[in-house]
Amino acid sequence: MTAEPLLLLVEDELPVRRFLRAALGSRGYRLVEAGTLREAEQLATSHNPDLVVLDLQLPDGDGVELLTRLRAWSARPVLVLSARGREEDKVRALDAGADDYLTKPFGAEELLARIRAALRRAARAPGEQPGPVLEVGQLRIDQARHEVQLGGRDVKVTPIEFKLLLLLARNAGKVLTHRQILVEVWGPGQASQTHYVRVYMAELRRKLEEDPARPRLLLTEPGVGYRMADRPPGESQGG
Amino acid sequence: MAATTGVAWVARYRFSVPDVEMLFLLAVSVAAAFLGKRPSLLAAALGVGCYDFFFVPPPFTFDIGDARYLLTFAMLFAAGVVVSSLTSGLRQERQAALRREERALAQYGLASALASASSAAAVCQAAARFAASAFGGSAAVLLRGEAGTLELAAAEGGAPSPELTSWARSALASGRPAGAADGLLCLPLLAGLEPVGVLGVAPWAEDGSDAERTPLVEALAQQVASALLRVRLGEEARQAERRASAEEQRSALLSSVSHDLRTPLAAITGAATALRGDPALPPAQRAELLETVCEEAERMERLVANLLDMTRLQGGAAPRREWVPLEEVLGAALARVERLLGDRPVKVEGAAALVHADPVLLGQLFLNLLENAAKYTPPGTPLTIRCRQADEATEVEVADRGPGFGQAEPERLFERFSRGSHPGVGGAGLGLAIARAIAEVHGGTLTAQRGDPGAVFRLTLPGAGAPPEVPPEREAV
Repeated sequence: MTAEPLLLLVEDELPVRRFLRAALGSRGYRLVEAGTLREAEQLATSHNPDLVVLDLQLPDGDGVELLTRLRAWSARPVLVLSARGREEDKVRALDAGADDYLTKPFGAEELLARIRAALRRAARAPGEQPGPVLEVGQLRIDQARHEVQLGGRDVKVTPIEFKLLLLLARNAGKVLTHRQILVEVWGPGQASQTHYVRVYMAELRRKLEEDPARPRLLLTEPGVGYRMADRPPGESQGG
Repeated sequence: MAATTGVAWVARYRFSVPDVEMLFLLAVSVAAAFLGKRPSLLAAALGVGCYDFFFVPPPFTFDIGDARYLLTFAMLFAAGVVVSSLTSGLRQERQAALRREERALAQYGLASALASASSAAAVCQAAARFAASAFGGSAAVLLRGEAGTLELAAAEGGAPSPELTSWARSALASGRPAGAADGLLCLPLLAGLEPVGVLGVAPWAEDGSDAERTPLVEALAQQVASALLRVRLGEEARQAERRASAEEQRSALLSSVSHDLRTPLAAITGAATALRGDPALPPAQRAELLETVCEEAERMERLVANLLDMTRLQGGAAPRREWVPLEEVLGAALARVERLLGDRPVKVEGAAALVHADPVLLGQLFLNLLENAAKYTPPGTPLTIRCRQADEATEVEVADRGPGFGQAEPERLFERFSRGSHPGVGGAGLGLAIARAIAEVHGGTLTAQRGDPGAVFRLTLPGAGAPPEVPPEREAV
């Protein structure tokens, strides 16, 4: 039968590791721990963990390096930990293939929720053909007919808005950087035109949010990008 | 001359005027007074010719019957020459005086432009403009950069030629004028003995017409060099002052903050040791102590974050501006204070406007204003955020309907470590100071006014032109 998920913790600071060990171990996760990039790489290769929790500032280098090497052979989710005010680190990590990030300091509940969400996404991603219809909360996207519905009501969107919405919905719960969105929707030539994304997101919010200034579905990650709130199909978007 | 001859003819043969030569004298003098030197000499010669041909007997020949007429010819011609040379001398002097006046005016203009220039770039711009117009060519000012290289600071009348740039380098190295071989002039700008840059003028004829301008261009170089020196000294003094005041502020910040850091630390240490020391504590008490640890840790985190923000802003980090809808920035800030705001209804108006600002910093500014509102207004009090955009500025007002700030001076709110007089409200009193610092790094302002009732915070950001185009898209799916 399926064993409990195996997590690799890469963190050099012992007090934080102790806290992670306590918080995760008690929830039934199996753990392997590393304090340096080298150790982490060895453990990742030998154990092939289901998820990696990776601190970006390690004594022997930058966590993003490990992430890049890891992504060469593994698609397993990586959750990065970074200090506050270092948005560019987060963007770099996400662009290099991280699934999510947490800003230190963070609470145990928050960490557990993110790990659960990342594992859930990883579990449904491979092989699973979601079919032509994608549902996130009240949002329903029919990929075959290019139709969008919210709570049963038709919503008219332009082709670019559709592409943008579909990208976010396919990655519901995951942060997408401005760059990732630009490359996917507008093409690699437009990777620096951040304001395209912002203008189109504003338009989508006007169409899909009750109050565009207090979005419930299309969330902003300041300085990093956007995330579509992940909700089971049919669940309402209430606060 | 033809007209004069005609008039003289009529006078002579109709009215028998005896001395028509006087008429010719008049015509020659008038021509000399108003025409240039050569035309007036020609007029004198023509006058003599006409007089001879038409009036000197025998008429209609150039023969001269009487030798006395030769004297008349000579006098006519001489009058023409004298008058013309006198007037042309006068004219030249007048033109020279005009030129001098023009130059003096231009120099005065330059002097005042240099005196009011507050940056090296402005000094160079004024100097290049003056040199180009005064010497009727192109002019450039190049300044010595950090690594001793020459960098173009200002050019007027086209970009400087490669020759000029290379001569400028040698002028800088030698401290002497250079460039004559290529028909241009590169003068080193000497601040004291040290060459700080080069003034280049092209074209320049060393020993030709430009020779008389040499003192002028040298005076210009001297003026520019001293203006540059003045600007640099002023900048150094300002920098020293900034450093000193930043140092002072930092130590003031540290000393007042150590108290704010120790309070939550004491609570955490106390609660944690109590938990460790007595395993038999009743569950209710355990829960309370744990809650203390979490709350105080959060408070410390906020304080440390505020301190970091403050030092970063004071350190002069430039905002990373992007075009972003206010709605997005406000939305992200509102999401972060959701729990704190609780049931206070928030209304946002006109937030579709795009602003050119650092989204993270601007979000922090709104977050601090909203946190402030949440701290100092009773639950349930409505909040209104109004955005207005015009060409020259974008305004955002955050208005609450709470108790306002009573008798306190609105400006005092923005001082660091100023806290409202409400009991039990935590925080280091840095939030509004940080919000204002963020407004200022964007070239904007943040002020507080009394509302009716409540408090109104008004952010004004200067306009940044039109936002960039987003490629249009037509059909809907």
